[in-house]
Amino acid sequence: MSQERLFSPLSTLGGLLGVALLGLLTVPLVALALSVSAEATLAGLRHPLFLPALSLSLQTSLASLSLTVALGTPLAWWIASSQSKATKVVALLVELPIVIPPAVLGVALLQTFGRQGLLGPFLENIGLAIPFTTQAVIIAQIVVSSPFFIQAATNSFRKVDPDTLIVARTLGSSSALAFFRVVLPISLPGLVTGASLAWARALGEFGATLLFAGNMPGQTQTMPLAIFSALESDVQLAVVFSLVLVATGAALLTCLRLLPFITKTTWRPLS
Amino acid sequence: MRHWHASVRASVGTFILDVTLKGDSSPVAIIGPNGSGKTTFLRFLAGAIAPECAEFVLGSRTLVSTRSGTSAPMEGRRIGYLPQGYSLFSHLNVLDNVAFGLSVGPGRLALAERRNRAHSILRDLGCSGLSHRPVSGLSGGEQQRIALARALVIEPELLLLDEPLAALDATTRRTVRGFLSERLTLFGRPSIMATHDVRDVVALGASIYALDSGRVIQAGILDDLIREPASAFIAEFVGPAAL
Repeated sequence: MSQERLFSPLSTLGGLLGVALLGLLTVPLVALALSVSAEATLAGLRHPLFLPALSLSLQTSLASLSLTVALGTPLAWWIASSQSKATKVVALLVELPIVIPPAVLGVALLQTFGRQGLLGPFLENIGLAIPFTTQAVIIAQIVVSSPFFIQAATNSFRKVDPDTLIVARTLGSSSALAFFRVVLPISLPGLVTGASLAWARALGEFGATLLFAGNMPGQTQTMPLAIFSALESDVQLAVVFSLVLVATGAALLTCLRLLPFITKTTWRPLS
Repeated sequence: MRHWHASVRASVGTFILDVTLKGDSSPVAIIGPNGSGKTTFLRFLAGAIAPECAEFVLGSRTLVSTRSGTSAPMEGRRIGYLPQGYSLFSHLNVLDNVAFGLSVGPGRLALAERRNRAHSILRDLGCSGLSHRPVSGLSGGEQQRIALARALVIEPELLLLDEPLAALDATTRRTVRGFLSERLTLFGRPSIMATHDVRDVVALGASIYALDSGRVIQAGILDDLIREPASAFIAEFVGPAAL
């Protein structure tokens, strides 16, 4: 009897459950797309809140992504490669923001950077006011999104065979050169996945931003916050903004799926 | 003749390696059960393990001496290393794997020159046809040749081979064993091979160090080990069934 047959009652049940979940994941998106007319879409795209919010979302999420990759890559490599017992504690600390509600993170950021916060007096001395500025948006995005990057990057680095690194060193590379010439290219697909996850998370960030950066058009009002504002006055407008975010996310996911294929063909020329 | 000797005491987790080995240009084989310290010793020579107490002299160079605080960086040792499973660079094709050692460090060469040298060493090893292949599709025997080419390209003064035939099927193993012993003879410099198979020792005409639990329990040529094996493992290793 084939294995497929052996499990057929289970797979029927599993299939039904899967379809139910698939429906839950996709039907709302279809509903979203169906609930708005062409005129409303055009009007939404011309709305004065739209372009500033989209541009702010793209700018801040790219800024937070760059900082996440620049600061997170060395940290992930350390977690993956160090023999120190501290790595376990650090790995746990890095994952904390994933399980903490964004609103809580927003309050925590206020208690850190706010005027009454932990660093408040120091920041005031050097003339820096961070809460309710664009920088605050970026900081909130880094806090919520970098754990996703660091996790993916750490996993990817862990998969690099340590012997590969030893060989690269014996062939004449310094440890830094071995990292850039061997470890990084081998782990690149994993890093790209992590960066995309982090970018998507930053793009969708709402709670921490609202509390720590506010909702000021042109300054701290990113797309999710613009949707929130639009919902109070005009549901159609909120739907149009939402569809734009869905399209951006879908485009991101598609690029992500295509990337391994592209890198494979450019890195490994066929004979 | 180039002589080498290495005394090392190093701990990796709870494992303690405490051995003294020496040799000249002829091949040396390290035998021993899994976990006896063969790989740890090779990694120490390559520079990947920091010892508590050690001296390692290769020809006229003292690469490690904890007494005088000397420890040559890995990239300056000129030691070729073939790890178990070969660890080819999966993001590079065959040619660039072989040319890697000429693209980094003080001996860095221009692109055309290093590709030339890599080509010529691949030709020597009978695998010019593989140059532009990705390493992912290579057979075990091919991977082994590429790993050897990659190590030889820097003209190392010592070659370390960690169970170079273990990943191959029985038929390939016989061919590759002959090939390897031929190449090591041509290499003419010291080489150390960790192995699980007495036929490798015979093919290379190597002298043997038998390790157990991080210590040398017997050293000598094959006949010595056959005559008076120091442990049940050695008796089985050199026994008629293995040969």
